[in-house]
Amino acid sequence: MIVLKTSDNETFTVERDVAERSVLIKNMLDDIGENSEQAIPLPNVNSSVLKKVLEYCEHHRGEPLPAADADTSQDDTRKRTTDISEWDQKFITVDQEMLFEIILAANYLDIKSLLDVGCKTVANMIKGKTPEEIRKLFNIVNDFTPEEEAQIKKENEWAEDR
Amino acid sequence: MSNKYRLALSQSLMISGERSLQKLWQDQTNPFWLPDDVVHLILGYLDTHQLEQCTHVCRSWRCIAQPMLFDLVTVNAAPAPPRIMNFFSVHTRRDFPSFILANPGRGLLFKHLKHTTPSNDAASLYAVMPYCSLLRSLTLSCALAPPFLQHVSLQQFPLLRTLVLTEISAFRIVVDCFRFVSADLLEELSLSLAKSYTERSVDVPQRQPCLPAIRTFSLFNDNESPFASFSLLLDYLFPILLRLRRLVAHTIHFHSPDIVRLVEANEGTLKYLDSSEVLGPSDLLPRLLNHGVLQEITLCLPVLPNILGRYLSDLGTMFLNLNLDDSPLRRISFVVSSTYGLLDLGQHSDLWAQLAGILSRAPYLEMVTLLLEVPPWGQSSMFVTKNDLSVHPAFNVLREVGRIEVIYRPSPGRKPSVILPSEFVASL
Repeated sequence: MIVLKTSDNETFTVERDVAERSVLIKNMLDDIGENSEQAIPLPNVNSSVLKKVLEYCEHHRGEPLPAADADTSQDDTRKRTTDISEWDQKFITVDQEMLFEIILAANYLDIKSLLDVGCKTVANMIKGKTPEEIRKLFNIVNDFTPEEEAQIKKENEWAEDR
Repeated sequence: MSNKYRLALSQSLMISGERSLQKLWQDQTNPFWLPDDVVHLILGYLDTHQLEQCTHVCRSWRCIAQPMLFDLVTVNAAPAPPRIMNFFSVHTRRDFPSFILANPGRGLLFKHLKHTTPSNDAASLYAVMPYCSLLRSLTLSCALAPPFLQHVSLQQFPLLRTLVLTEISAFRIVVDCFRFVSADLLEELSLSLAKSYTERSVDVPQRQPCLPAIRTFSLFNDNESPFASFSLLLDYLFPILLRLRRLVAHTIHFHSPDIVRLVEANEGTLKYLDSSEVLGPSDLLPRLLNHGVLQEITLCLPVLPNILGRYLSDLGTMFLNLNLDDSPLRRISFVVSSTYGLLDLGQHSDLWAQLAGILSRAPYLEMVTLLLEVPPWGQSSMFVTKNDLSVHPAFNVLREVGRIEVIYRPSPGRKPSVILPSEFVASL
């Protein structure tokens, strides 16, 4: 069993194979060695987010981790679908704040599959929206000058549309 | 504390610092406080139109989205020919050279270049190619390829991994192309043969092609003539095709001994296989799976119903004898002919159910895909539709674990005539 300590000083005790879904934790455990009783500090994750993340790790325990030597050529370009499996879909149906917290935690803990699910969800939120709607959705301020806007339009003409 | 741990820790502190700062400055800086590499991941899931919208959101998004938008440029001097069933709109980019000369920095944004129709002014393109030094892939229609490759050395593109030759009308032209090509870093080669493709033994050169071992090879052959052969072509390329990780071979006729030979030569290294061959469930297929390397496979099913029935039963037996517990196989797809009758599906129901049962228990398998070929002559009530397969009870066990999908796929010979690098083909 592994003890994890969150930013708000709560501790979680989980089985090793569940915790090792996180490449960060796996590497830390490899460094510390087998028999350490020490709690692993996760100063970037609070307890409510970690609880959620562990729920995901628990459900997907035993599944193969993405190979480290994954063909980079395949990751290079846009080609991926945004389909999310049913369980993951249900899991990720949370408010926007929590969604971003989960993405940040997955990024920090290095859980690639969870990061993918989070990113796909945000991508699905962006789909079909105008720039103004996207700004509203993410509370972004338009910092372009009208000249810049025109410039972008001109430049984008050069992009291939399919 | 190892370096890796320290690095991760410092990175995480950086991110959290950044985050609280951004939360503090909400409304003044970008409050979409995900790190740039995460935003990059998110935008990677969008198509070109949505990406274009994202370039207009704010400055920080523009910096991320615009380079992604400029992945592909098509240089095409003639007006776009009308094409039926073409998934890619063809653009006129007559003035590409002048655009690059006016904006030399823009050349670095292009990752994929496609040069397809004969240009009157090809020479002006050669001159600006050095500006596009970050190209990942190059697509050339075969008529243009020999002079292009003679004038433009591929060595000046250090990131170039993919070479695509389309509309190949003769073996001789391929030989002409590879006479000039020297690219040590090339990993992917994709060839699509024109309907009129011919080859003659007098064109076989003494020298083998001067290319490194290719990792990904795709071959598309739309030639309907039963006498059409591409044996000389594959013989010529064979020495560089012995360490393949990915193989895609689509021909209208199944049963090409040349492709079977290619599969056999690479059975220990192939991670991904998609061919129009019906692979034998008694010899080649179990050998492929037993190597423990194969992760994705697309299996073409026999078309005749009684042969299909036997094949499904043999597949079931094969999977029962194989131990899938340790197999890294993640995706398996079955190509279902557009002429698969509803009655036949009913008759094969038990065989499908047996197969589905075995596949639903394979621990590492993520998805079983039924690729239903689009009938060239439109729908008929006699043949199975996507809907029939999507609700058929034989696949219930797979449905329960969320491991099945049904997708239409263009039948051979109806594929878009423009072939793009594999990542684009995959997005279809």
